[in-house]
Amino acid sequence: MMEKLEPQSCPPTPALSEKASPERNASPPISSSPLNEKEETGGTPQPQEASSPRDDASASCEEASEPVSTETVSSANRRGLASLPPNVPVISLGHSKPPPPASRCMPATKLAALHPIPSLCPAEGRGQHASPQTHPISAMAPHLLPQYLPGHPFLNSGYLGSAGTFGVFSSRGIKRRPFTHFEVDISEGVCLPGPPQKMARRVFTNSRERWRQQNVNGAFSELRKLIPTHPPDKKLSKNEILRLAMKYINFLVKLLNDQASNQARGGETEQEEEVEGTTVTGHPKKKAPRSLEPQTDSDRASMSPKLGLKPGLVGGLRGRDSSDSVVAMGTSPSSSCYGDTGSPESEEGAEPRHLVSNGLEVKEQTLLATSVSDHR
Amino acid sequence: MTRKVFTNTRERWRQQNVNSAFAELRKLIPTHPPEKKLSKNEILRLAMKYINFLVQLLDSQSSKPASHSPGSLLHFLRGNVERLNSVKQWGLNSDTDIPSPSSSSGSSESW
Repeated sequence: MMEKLEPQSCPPTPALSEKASPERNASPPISSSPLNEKEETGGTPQPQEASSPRDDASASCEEASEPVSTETVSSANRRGLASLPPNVPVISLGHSKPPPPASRCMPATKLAALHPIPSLCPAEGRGQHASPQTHPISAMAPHLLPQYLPGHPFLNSGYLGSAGTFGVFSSRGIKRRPFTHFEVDISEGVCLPGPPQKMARRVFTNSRERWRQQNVNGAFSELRKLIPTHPPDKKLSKNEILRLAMKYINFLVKLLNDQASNQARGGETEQEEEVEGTTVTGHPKKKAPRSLEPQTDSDRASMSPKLGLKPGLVGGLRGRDSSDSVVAMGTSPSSSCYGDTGSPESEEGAEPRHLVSNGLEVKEQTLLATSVSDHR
Repeated sequence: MTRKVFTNTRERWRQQNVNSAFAELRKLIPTHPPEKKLSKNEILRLAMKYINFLVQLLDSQSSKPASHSPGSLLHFLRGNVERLNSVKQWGLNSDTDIPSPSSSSGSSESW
């Protein structure tokens, strides 16, 4: 993943790259070996991809940065952010270990990436520790570029590890540190005079935060897809998504438990009543007043638009205490609305299943309706 | 300026609401250890996985009216092994406990 960063980070940070050039020139041969080392230590799964682009990136980076070498090195030495060969400290971290003479700076840089300012050059010895950690750091480099491509670069990044699409999860423990260090690195290693340096850091932080937020929003929309509502594409706020998800999970768990216990008693026909009974009596906090009491027109009106409950079904809710209403609801056309939302239960063909699914529909819709109205 | 203060306060209150909803949702998600700290992203994605799992479980149970076929349930549970393993990366080892209500009490009968 380190290698990945280089090609990506090189272009967006030409200014930063100027710093890193000298080191880079010195350590092209080293790059391959440290890379291998890093891969071993970091255990990142994607070594091969970056190698070729890395070379290209390094070449381009080298071109960009030449003059500042001495400054960079000295400043890097001072600050422990060795002018990492890859222009941007981001890139260089993963990229390569500098040759032994320069290595003093390199490991220090990596370390600095991991530890904020204080630990500038102190620990060459810590380079070993740094290397595995630089992986996530280097993984952050792409942020500068692909901020508008939220998922993909990171999905492919080795930093995400085996978590795949949930890469944000996998190295959660390491994730934060590299980021913070990164910010420090950029401000430190870049050595830009005042404002541009702060601006670069701010830009980086902004893009990172934007990427992170897009990730969270994506997770919200995916969760939204799982929650059955009527109509299915109804817009839900984040709050609603969370609370409805809670209700849905509770509902599913309760249903499973009821099914399990009822199966023991021998018969699924009991299940719906059990479910209903449980729903009516067992969730006082959720729906007791609404489901047990006859619903007023205002209640019905308020509930229907929220979940789009059809009048037949809503009216049926009132009579749920009688098994007749269950059957009636089972045969009502509104039961199909649940099937439209893709609830798998309602699509089963068997008769007891149909009744159960209708019981599920009723219970769930009532839950959803109640939860929504409760939170309004 | 007062309006800004008002807006800030309202936004803070709204955010607190959302955070408490996250916390409550977190309580429902089985993890190991149960008090494991989850980020918002993780909470959302784990909730997704959990819901999918519960729905699949329900499907596998309900697809056969008697649900007396141990093979189908086993197959379903085995199919989840990969998913559980992937989830374990985030420390969700207790997912294996989820089937217990049905498998121990329910399927044990059918088995």
